Amino acid sequence: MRVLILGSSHTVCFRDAIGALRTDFPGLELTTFGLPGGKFAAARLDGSVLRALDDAHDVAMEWNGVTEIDTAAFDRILMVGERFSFQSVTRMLALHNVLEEPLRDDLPLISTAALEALIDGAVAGQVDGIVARFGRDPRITHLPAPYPLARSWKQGAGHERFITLLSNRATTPRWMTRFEASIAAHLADVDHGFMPQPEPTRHDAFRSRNAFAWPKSGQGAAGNRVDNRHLNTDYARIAFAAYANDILNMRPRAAHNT
Amino acid sequence: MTSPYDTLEDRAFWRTGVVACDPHHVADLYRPKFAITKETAIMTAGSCFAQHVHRTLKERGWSVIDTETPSGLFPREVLNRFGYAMYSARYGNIYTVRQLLQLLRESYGDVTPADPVWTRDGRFFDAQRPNIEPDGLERADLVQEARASHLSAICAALSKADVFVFTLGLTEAWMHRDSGTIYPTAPGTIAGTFDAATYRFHSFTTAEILADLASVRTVLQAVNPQIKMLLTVSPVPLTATASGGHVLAASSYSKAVLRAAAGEFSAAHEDVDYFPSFEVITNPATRSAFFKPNLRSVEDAGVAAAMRMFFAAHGPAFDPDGDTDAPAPHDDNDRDDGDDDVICEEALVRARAT
Repeated sequence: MRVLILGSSHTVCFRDAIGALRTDFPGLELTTFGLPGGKFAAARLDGSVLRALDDAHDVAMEWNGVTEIDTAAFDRILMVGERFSFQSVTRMLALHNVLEEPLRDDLPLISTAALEALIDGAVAGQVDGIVARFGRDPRITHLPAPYPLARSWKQGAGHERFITLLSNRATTPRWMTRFEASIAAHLADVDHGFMPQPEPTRHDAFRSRNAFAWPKSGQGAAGNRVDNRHLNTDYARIAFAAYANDILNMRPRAAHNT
Repeated sequence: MTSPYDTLEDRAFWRTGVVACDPHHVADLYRPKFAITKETAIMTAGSCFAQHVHRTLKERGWSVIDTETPSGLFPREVLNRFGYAMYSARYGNIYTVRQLLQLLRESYGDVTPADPVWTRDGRFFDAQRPNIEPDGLERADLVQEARASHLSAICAALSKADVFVFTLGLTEAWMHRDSGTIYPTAPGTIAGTFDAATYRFHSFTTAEILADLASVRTVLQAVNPQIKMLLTVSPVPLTATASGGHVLAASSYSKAVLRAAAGEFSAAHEDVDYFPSFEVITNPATRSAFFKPNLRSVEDAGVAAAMRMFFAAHGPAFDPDGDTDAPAPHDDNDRDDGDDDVICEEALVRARAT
């Protein structure tokens, strides 16, 4: 079976793990094709061929060794890195108190009905964009961009203000579940699959475990850019194993020890 | 022999000022009293036509105050369904000047509306903005708490405003008999129950509207002595009249009263101006082309013509089909394909009647 891992910069950890993934799943023919988020969004789809624009050729070659990929050549596509309005949704959640919930910390109030409708609307808008580009395609399963690392509460570079605000609220897990349910439902409406971030890689609601940080990406790592959003190859192996289990009905040849 | 008309400009004559003009670009119709720039903090309120003003200014990147709309990639249709992104705060449509005055006074704790919570099918609604939660809330105290939060947002908006844009919409209103509280809709239309012993119909006179405008100006200037008012009159005819008369005559009467009040009030105050969007939309030269087939809702071309006049007077040339200067936060999902894409409780009256 030919599987394409396609998407934004979140494909890089899969690319770097490709040797391990091929060992884990020898029956699969795996390919990755990724571009930085904006360049992936701008890439032109000619029929089934996704082509990087001219200004993305260099990075496409560096990351993939090619500048285009024919999606028709694959039996399954794992699309990674879409955020489904995550930033808009978490900002809205963080900057409001929910009218029907007991918490009051001097923030504007918003009703549950409005929140749910706005979450659904924001997600639907993103899904509309995806389906307008890639069509209704049951081969595609979406693994959204992983949630930011738990360490992103620290002030300074890589700080995630809204996630940090939400981390103190008891109701946040419920809203994360609601957000993910909305993604799943809207994708199902267009015959796309959804795979949530695997539980072992999560710290708590909307946050990933620090153990999956990209190497040398923390604050104080001299000469390296702080990055609390991209995860490492261990994450890639767990995420792909979950995809293989849930979607392809396949198990890795050896159990992971991560 | 000379006449006082001999020296008048072309704009003073019907033939040159109207007949000979492209109704999409009526020249020299609007001469502002004061400048409004992209940096001017604009607060909007009024009847449903004012939503077009708010939206267009926002889409052009002008400094339109919005204290309650969540930032982010949210579709306008969803935001509007819950009363967001329509005006500078989430008050919904304000059809009468009395309701505006009542709201401003309530915001500063000077009045408390009677019967603040209405019900429908076991759900609870804010009687002063019954359309902002389409399905209501589960308890009356939640309505009251949400309203308190909303009133704070209004105060925040007022504290920032340099110009207050208000569209006068209706003369007809429903009033609480004992307290004089005004409601934006008749009880029983969206929520609540009509009881003739509790509520009564009232049609505001020009004198009453002038007095209310003066009180509004006083409240606004108490917050910001330098604030300016820009008045418009909604060109949207009444969807129904409770006056006992024919709706056509009632609509003409209502618009005439509102237009007279707006004109008289702006003429009396240097810090109050009148923006003639009503005249742009109702210009006979258009042969009603700026109205949709229901002869009430305003076509996009009409809104564009009115706003073109605004931007021509206050800012760079306006190209309704051109790129906006700065997208509103929710523009990525902005579509405008409805027959009547502004939220108008008045339309619900008709919906119930058919």
